[in-house]
Amino acid sequence: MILGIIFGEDRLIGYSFIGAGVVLTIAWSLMQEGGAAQQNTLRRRFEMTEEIDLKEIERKAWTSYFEDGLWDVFFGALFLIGGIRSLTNNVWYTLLLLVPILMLPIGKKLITIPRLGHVKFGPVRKLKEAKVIAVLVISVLATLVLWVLPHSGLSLPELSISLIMAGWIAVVFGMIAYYLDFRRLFAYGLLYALSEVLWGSSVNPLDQLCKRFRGL
Amino acid sequence: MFTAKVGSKADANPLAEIDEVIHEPARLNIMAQLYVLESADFLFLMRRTGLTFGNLSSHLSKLEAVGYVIMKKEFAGKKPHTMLRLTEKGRVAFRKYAHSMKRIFGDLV
Repeated sequence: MILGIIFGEDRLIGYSFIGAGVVLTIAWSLMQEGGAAQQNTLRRRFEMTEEIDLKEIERKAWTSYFEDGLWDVFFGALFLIGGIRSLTNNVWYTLLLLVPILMLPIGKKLITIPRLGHVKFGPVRKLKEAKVIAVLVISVLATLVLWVLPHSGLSLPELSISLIMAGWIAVVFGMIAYYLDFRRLFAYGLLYALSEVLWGSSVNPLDQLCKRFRGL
Repeated sequence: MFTAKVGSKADANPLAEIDEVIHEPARLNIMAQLYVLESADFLFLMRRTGLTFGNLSSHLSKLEAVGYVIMKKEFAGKKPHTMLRLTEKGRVAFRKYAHSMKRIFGDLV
């Protein structure tokens, strides 16, 4: 956020909101798990004797693979690199994207799987994964269209493009979060969408702050 | 002449239908975990069930003995690991067990 204010890069400021959101969400998750630890023993006994919710068991097995935080680091790195790319206006910084893209599978293989073990999920989960892939493919195509629009001769105000992008980002992240049962992604998507709106807005409350700092 | 109608053992005592192998809490937990997955290894089941290695191994042996669980050795790269999954017999038995329990508690509630 400080870098964004000093250099007047609104997008970097927006990305810092995402970083703050990531930290707060992880901290909240840790607090919830710590508080619930004492209740888990009783709850487990209750669940075994009174009711077994198979959907909840499958969901917990699936989400255990997200407890390592690697996906959170992945998205944080993506947004950070995007911010650095905007700050420097140097396309070569895009190559830094290779770091989180490679880190995720390597981290899963070397850190997560040796601690959690191997598992193959059932057909219901595989169908949801296929839906996520479909959403991602459609989102890439739609993003390409949105990037081409301003250069196609169609005159659109910057805010309109930002609003369309923000809405699309919120929808895509929301759908992926729903299909993957990765609830933190709702928050990340919302903050990312907000950063897009701030970037395109001419009435940007942070703009005054940036100008003040540049004036110092 | 008076004849008494003799019902089946299950009619006299529906609790007799309960599969005793599955009914043990730890084994029920193991069966439930494997039912919602295609397969899992020892480490994953240990973490999900909260059982120790020895305890888990003992219960899995009992489930394997009745044909509910099958163990298959696979390789992840060069490292061997044992994957566990429910057999079709195990899945049918689990569904039957769940149905029996619902029926029993449904009558009571």
